[in-house]
Amino acid sequence: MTSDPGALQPNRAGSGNHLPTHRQSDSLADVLERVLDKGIVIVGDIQIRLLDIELLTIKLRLMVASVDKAREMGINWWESDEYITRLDNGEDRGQLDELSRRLEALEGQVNESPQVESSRAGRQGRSTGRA
Amino acid sequence: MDETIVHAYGVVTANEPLGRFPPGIADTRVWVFDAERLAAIVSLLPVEGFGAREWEQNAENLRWLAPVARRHHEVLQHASANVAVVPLRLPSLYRSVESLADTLRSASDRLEHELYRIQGKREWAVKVYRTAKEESSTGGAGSTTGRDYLLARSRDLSSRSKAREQLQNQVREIHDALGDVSAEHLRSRPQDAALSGRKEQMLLNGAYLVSHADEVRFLGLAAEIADSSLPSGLLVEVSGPWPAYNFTGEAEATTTAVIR
Repeated sequence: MTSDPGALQPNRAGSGNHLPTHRQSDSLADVLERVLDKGIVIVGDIQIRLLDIELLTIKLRLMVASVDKAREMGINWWESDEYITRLDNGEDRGQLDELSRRLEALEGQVNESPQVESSRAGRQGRSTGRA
Repeated sequence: MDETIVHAYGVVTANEPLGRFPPGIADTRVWVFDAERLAAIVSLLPVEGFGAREWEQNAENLRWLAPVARRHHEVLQHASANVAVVPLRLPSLYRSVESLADTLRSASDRLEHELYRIQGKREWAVKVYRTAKEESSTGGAGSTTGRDYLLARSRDLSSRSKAREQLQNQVREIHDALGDVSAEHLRSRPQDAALSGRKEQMLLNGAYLVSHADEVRFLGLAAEIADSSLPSGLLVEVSGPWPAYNFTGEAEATTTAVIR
């Protein structure tokens, strides 16, 4: 059981023979959502002062939500890693700057609007400098 | 040698066969560090480039973050194909393997509990998208009088809200049905259309922890649901197996105080 990255598509699976299997490459959005927002937190000797990782994931979501037009411009990092690769080539600095600007602007919005706060915003396991 | 820092990917039971790992973050070698009954999957990263300061500076820099997240995931994906793995949330840095071992020891009850919880099970994800647009409003078009217009308008609104409710119920039924074949199940917030990379609105972002014995049944059911939901405008998409990201660390809010 390999092949098909698209998982279940209609009408193919009727026989029950076609089981969905792992995608060749999980979408970056799914990966980010999981590694930044799920999994276990055990606090070691280095704790990192991030504004708030959860806030970050919210901002990522807001950011991509606000860059619908970016897709037209060819920015599609949430669909593949291609964007990242291109950035590594140093080509699209302007786009990266633009994304960073939007991120900053959204940061302001996030701070101001309580309704986007996650229900788990009180979660712990980060913050503060070194123990 | 340049100064290094320990990056921990996940926690497994000691002495499990894990095979050869794919390259870790920054192409580092990934290995397993035993700490009594538990073991951590780790690699040594240069402090310069991946230390606490870099995390503080780059956590919102996608060019830096994406490859880190991707490698972290790939290592966990490899390990979880063979054994139960508790994934560690990013960032996950330790000054030394000794300090990591101390941390594992002090959290061992909780970690062993999590390993027990996911033993013999795998996580699957099911997303449901809405393919059909909401029925476009007739807006009372063709009405001859104001009264007719208002009546038509109100019928229109109530039928749309009914349709929406129906859709919600349908999605809940899908989630519950899949949940019945799972050891545990939960719903995450649906991803925004731009984040999901899909035009269709996401209605369900579900995660299911399924025991090996029930996997064929689970996937068969998902296939059935996908087939039967399509005519009503729902596209069902399955991915997995994933490392058990969604089924570890949930009890954190109550246990954090203990391990801090």
